[in-house]
Amino acid sequence: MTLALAALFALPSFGQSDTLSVRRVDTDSLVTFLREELGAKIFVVKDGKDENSYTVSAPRANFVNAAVAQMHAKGYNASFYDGAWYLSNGLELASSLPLGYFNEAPKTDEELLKYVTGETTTVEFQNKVYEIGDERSGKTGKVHVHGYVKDVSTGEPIIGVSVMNPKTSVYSITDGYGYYNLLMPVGEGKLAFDGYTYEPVELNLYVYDDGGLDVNLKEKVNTLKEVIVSAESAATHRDAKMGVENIRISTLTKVPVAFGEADVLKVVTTLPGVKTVGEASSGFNVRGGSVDQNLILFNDGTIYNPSHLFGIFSAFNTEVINDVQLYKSSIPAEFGGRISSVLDIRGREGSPNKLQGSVGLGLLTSRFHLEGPFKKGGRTTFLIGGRTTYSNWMLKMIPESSGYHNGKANFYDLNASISHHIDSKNSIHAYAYYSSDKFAFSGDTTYHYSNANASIKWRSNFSERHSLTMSAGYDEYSNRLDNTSNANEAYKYRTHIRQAFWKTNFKSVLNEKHTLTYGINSIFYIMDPGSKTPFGENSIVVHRQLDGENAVELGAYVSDSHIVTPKLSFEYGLRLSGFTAFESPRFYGMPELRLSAKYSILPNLSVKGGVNTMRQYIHLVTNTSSISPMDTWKICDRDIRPQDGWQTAAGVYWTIGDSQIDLSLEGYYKQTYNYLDYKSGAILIMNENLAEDLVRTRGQAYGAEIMLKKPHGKLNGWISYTYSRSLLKEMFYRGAETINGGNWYSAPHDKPHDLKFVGNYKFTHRYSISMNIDYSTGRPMTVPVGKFKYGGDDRLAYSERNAYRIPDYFRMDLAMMIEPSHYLKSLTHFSITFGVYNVTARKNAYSVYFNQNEYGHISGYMLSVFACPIPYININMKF
Amino acid sequence: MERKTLAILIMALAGLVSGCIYPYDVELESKENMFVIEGDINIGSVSQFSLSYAMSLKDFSYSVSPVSTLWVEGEDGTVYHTREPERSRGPFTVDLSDAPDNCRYRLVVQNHDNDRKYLSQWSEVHLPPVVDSISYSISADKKDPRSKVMDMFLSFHSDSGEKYFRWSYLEEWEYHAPIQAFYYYERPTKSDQEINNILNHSAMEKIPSEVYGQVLKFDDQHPSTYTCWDRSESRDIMLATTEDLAENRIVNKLYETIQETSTKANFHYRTTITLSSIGRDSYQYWTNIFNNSENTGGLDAPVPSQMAGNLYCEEDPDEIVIGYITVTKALKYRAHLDFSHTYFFKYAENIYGDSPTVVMEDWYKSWKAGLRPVGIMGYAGPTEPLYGWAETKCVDCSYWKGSYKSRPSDWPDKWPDSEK
Repeated sequence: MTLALAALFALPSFGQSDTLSVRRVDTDSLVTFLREELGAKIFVVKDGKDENSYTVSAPRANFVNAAVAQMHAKGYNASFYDGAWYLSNGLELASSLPLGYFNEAPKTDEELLKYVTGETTTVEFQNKVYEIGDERSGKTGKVHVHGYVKDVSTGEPIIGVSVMNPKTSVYSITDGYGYYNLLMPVGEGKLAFDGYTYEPVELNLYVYDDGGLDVNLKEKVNTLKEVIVSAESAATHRDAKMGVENIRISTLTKVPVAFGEADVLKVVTTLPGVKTVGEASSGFNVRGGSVDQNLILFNDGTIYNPSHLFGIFSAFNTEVINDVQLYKSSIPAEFGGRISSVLDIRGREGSPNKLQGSVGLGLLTSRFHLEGPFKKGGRTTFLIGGRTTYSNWMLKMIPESSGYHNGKANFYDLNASISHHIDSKNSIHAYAYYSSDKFAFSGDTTYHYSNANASIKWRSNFSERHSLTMSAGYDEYSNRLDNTSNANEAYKYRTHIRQAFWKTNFKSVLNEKHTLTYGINSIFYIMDPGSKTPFGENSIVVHRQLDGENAVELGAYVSDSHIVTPKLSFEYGLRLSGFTAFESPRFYGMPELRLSAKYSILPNLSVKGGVNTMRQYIHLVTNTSSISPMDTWKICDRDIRPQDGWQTAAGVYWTIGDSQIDLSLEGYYKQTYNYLDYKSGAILIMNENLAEDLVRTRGQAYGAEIMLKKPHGKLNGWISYTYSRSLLKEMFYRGAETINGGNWYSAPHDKPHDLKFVGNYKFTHRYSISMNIDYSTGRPMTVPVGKFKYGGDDRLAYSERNAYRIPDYFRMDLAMMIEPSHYLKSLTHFSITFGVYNVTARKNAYSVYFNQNEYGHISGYMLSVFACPIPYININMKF
Repeated sequence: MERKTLAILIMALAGLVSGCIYPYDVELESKENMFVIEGDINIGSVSQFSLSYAMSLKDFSYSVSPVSTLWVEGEDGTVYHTREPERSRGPFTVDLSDAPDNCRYRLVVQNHDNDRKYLSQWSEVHLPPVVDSISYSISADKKDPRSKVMDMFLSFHSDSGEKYFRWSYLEEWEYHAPIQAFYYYERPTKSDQEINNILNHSAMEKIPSEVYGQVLKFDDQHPSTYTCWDRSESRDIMLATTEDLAENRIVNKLYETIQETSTKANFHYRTTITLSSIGRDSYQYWTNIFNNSENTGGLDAPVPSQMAGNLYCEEDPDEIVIGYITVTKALKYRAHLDFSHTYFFKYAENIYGDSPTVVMEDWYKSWKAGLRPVGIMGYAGPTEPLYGWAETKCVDCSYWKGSYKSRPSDWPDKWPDSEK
């Protein structure tokens, strides 16, 4: 909780001309000399290991400056404030009091709690003037003010906060690291920090020169805990980007989900325009796109399968996540490689203040995390987390007659990160992630899949105008199927996707109207499309390995955030992407355009529009309704072309009544090309000629999303309705075998009507309830329309692909949250969440199928995954 | 508290892994006009073909086959006609006993109802594999470990490089009632009402013999109820491939599971396997039919889809014709198994109980109560045998479902050595 003004390095003058020298003196002697001989006001905090030796020779007038410069060179942070030097070794010294503390910082946890919850007198920020830069710099014109915006209670960076100069309406939106950079005129000024769920702050500044200003914001009392999705209304009206959803992990526990564990992906699917084919299905669909058209990034690493246990749980431990952003329309130029959306998940840094952690117990899963500095007050922090299930032993408790008694279902995920802040401008972060799933519902077939990611990132604000983020890493997704149903034909089937990536991203504030983002990223793919090897001594399966595939994907991009006037702004972006497959040499390349514009009719009423073109060089080949772990990922080659897509969207955004209600309406139309569908009877695994079993389709999707959101007050939440269609059509006619005769047909995830409601009501600080309602049209299905006698029995003749729909989906969930302890000085803090998933016990169809019953009749059956109310309880403890 | 929590946990997990399956009734459009041609061109023997149309899911009987003329053509110009007269509704048989292996063949169907001609693609002959064995093993039922099941396995190999196979089978078996009865009861010739009138108006000690009925020895006219036979043709689609195997053989392919209460496992069991090599496309076609009919509904089951076979309509190539005509030489393999010593079989109902002796006056009543005579247990008088009676299920094998007394004509008197 500090507000740190950047060190001011303009050196004071003492007005004397003779030369002074000191030789081989230690820190204490030097400081004493400066104080006693030169009368310098100098305050030093040094650590016990300081064995520095100084030799300084300089004119008396500049001697203090020279000595301080040398101390700075030997590791001291130096700040000059109000005629005095403040030097510290190891710790960065704040030259003013923390924001909100003014005269006296809270010294106890109770006082801090009061401050956080606003029970004490509200601090008048405007009463203090913060000086930026050195008053002797003599600068005129405009200078850069930059810094980080963080959450006061967690220390986590806050994304999407609008930082604006109210006089000029020039603004900056904090990026994924909570960083902003703004051009301010020299002289008196104001800076308004406006985050949707945070108390708005307006600071009085006196700007002399370039300088830093870190601000810690506190969440709004009574509102922040409940609000989960924050589109940052202030940012919405300022930023030209559209279709961006920001999800705050700290409050995910409020959305009821099956088995009660806070789940990033489940909350993503409560957003308008985001759908799933079923409630136990991996992945999600954004605006008519298929599952593989979403780029899911976790600390810059690509996650190919974001789910555990067929999609019942997501593969992310919410305790280690800081922020999630979903781009479903305006996809920044720095992202590429998928044509539908980007889900950018960023992990947290460990706390720099103390060792802390959490433990969570749920019905099927448990999780923990631990974080803190390696050394108290040090610059290096760590964070580790883990999650696992105990469904294995529970499966043993299921009656043998169920047929699942011998089943196994196990998963876990592990996270680790280390962050090191080299100095105030540079930091290095290392991340590692591993998730594993293994399940076998029958005794002879075992599935296993895993995601592994490791990455390292360097972030540098290397000048007042420019910042750099460079990351490199390695991702691996592998799956394995062990089949032992017949000892002689027992086999192991495996696939791997390995990729190494490197990303360099620059951000430059050119002037108050233009902020450039540019960079290069590359991915080197090493694909193992499949191998089948014998399992066991008796197996006569011959080892077979499909040819590996290697390729490189490059992207270079530049985008400009252009503020034409306070009312009108643009985002222009151009991305050049290229892809080369090595085994069957073929180069694909295409410029991709990103354009969006915003016009604010009123401060609280904006209209936006945009166009994107995207390209994707990897396909997920599947013939199942829900994504299966055994589905095949295929990169482009000579026969398989990249997926192309473009989307145009427009929207109106209205914040009604002092930010109490946000109303938005967005419409979109998109087209895709070369999405791969499968031929009837296609063989998708271990197929050397996979392309021959696939067909290229053209897709079109369109829809409108309306969302009403009330983020404030005891009652808060949102309701959204989406009408959308997603259709496919074979690109080339193949005679009688052409899917649906070459006509448009529904994509597997085409669900036109979608109504979602998420509501929270907070009775007191301790008790709150939540409700979640989800209605959607049933997804398309292919049904039998006739039967015929063949091979000794009745067989089924099927309709055109996806010509029918399963029954509509409806679900209501309730949850109650209890947070008994609010005492900050307590060693542990408990919270309990219990609720019921599918309160109305509606038997929602996951799939519908048709079989011949014992009387020879063809009957329809409906498989419902959660056919009854599922109670849950989750206990969380933080320490 | 712990138990309560546990109950919730189990309920939750049960919901997770097993889900629930409910009937689903939906009005579906019918697509009934798809022409179906079934059969293989079976070189070296008599081939059978049948023609039909796909029908509505709600129909219980199939529509009449179209009047057609059908023949098999060899690429050498030979035409093999059906044994049936031209312009018939089938099923059709074509004698291909003399057809050479080294030729390509196709099927031609002239449908006179719609005046269209349907042809299969020219195909080479797929040579038959060799059956190595049919075997069985007994193990605990995975779904109910208190019960046992008998798994039947087929092993075969191909010396001709064939890699895709399909088979069907006919099962025939002999089984026995729990008790061998030597007598049967023949009811009085009077009607039930007449008998009841007599019984109701007679003193107990003087029930007239005319309502006793008779207990007689089994003879040719009235064969024993101890032995029955039954038969069953496979309905599942059975496929195998050696595509990924180091050797061109299939070993112990599970093709049938017999429950311990099935009469198949009671005594003698005979199975006749019809095994064919097929092409890769045919294998895919049959796999697709299998997936469409028997492998639907699972969380990761493939979405069903209609796949085109190798038949086409000459007048309208876009017409969907159901069927895949494989040119093959099918192998018939018969195995005789003796299950009488496995101690595997269990009658599906309790068969243990008294075998009371019944005096003549009570024969009719006992018969009406479901008892049947078994054998002479003693004598009630010098000339009055006292028969022991038992429940029908104990003495009459037909109670256990089967084709009573219809012994297959070629059922061996002396059971051949069994395979194991």
